[in-house]
Amino acid sequence: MMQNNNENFLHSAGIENAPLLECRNLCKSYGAVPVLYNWNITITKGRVVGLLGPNGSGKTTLIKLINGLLTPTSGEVLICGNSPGVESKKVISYLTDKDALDSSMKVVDMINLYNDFFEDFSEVRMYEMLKRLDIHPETKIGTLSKGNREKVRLILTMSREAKLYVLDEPIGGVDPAARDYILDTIIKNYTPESSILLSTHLISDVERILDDVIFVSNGQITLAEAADNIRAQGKSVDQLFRETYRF
Amino acid sequence: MMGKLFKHEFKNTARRYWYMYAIILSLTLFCKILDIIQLNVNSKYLNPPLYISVTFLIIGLFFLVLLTGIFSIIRFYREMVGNQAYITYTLPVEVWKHIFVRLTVSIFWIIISVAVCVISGLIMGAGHDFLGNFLKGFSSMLSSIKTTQQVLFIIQLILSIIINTASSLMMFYMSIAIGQLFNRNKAIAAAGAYVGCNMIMEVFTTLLFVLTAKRIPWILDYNDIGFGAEYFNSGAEFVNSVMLLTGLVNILFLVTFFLITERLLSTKLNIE
Repeated sequence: MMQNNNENFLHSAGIENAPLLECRNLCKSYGAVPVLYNWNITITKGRVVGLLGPNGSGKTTLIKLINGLLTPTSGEVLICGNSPGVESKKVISYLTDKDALDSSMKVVDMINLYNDFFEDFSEVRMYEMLKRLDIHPETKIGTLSKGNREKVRLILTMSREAKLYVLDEPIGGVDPAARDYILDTIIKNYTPESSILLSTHLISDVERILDDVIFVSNGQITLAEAADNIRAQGKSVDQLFRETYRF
Repeated sequence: MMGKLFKHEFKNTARRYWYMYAIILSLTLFCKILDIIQLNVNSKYLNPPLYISVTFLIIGLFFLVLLTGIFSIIRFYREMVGNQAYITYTLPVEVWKHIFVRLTVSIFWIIISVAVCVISGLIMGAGHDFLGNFLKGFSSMLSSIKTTQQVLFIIQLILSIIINTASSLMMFYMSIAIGQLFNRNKAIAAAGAYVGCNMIMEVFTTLLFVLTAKRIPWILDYNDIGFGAEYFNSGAEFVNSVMLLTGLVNILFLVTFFLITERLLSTKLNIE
């Protein structure tokens, strides 16, 4: 189901109406090149929202705007009523698409960093997941394989009891077995009090966990719909995506 | 939060600098052992290895201080606008605290590096005339200042060096903050911003001194009987006054650069 680009709106029917994330007429341009055009999104708690689109569609740009890594050209982003800043960062747990870990540090150094700065970080949960992955905390990050680095980044993110988890391409660049682990970790650590915004272009892998989907292309939202509504039409989210963005 | 930032910044930077200090001090001890042997044996065959070792040591000392400054700039770039900025800006900490902590820790390591150089110099100079002559010369200059102001002079000298270093570092940081505004070639843009800021600073400083010279006669007219002579008892006191004015100007620059950097990274962040 396509929606008018000027009225792109997704209101997730969560348990309560207080929005965790609001984007109001959000635009971002680099010079004369628009990257996001007039996005209006509201996400309440208790939802897993998939931000789906091809490469270069604006998914990462939105995520960076939410996390204060970019500033909007116009419009605003609000997280629990706050603009991106110190207060919003206390409630957002962000998994970056880039591997930003310092290779010279040990895993335990990152754990201590998260423990010191995030009140909602659960050291117990972190060490449990680390043990299941058979990664020793004293391991130097630079010696970990790519897959294990992705997993460490993910479990750092999911060890926080945040209100909003923002996961940028959490399963990109890892093998299928690692993808299943990542998705299972997301589901197991997610609570109805929080929401997850997950961006990916590997839709068939993630659609089983999605409550809502937002299709984006060329900086515009082309569809904002509950996943069940799509499935009620006899299609999977992946099928609809392929039909929508067929070359 | 500031304490935690300091803790992590010191921990992450210390491992690099300890290696460098260990290398320098080991090389110093090696040179000193050769020096002591030469003093006792006085063999012409010991001169080449001694001179080569001391040359390497001098080069090492120079690069120690230089690399300390360079590492701090590279680290700021990497952590505030580079790849690791993703981690930095995820933390619920105000931007000014990030900048302040990195600046302070960088100055700390520069001071330590200079101290290591001084210690190395004292070790090598022990038992030689040039160290004694240097200390006599410094002491002679100090004695030209009124006794009650000698400690003040030394404190002012040290503070001037620290403030000047902080101001210089902060200009690099500000240039990096300006460079990150560009979508491409951020490092080149930062270098260009640094050159531009340097030029502006030079023009400002020159104008400031020219404009204030006539109003504050003691700046330029030391040798003129009609103006400055009654203000000074010695060249050291003249130096003292120039240091004071330079220090004030550097504080002004430091605060300005800090505010600009903070504003740019808070409101115009462009991490790609």
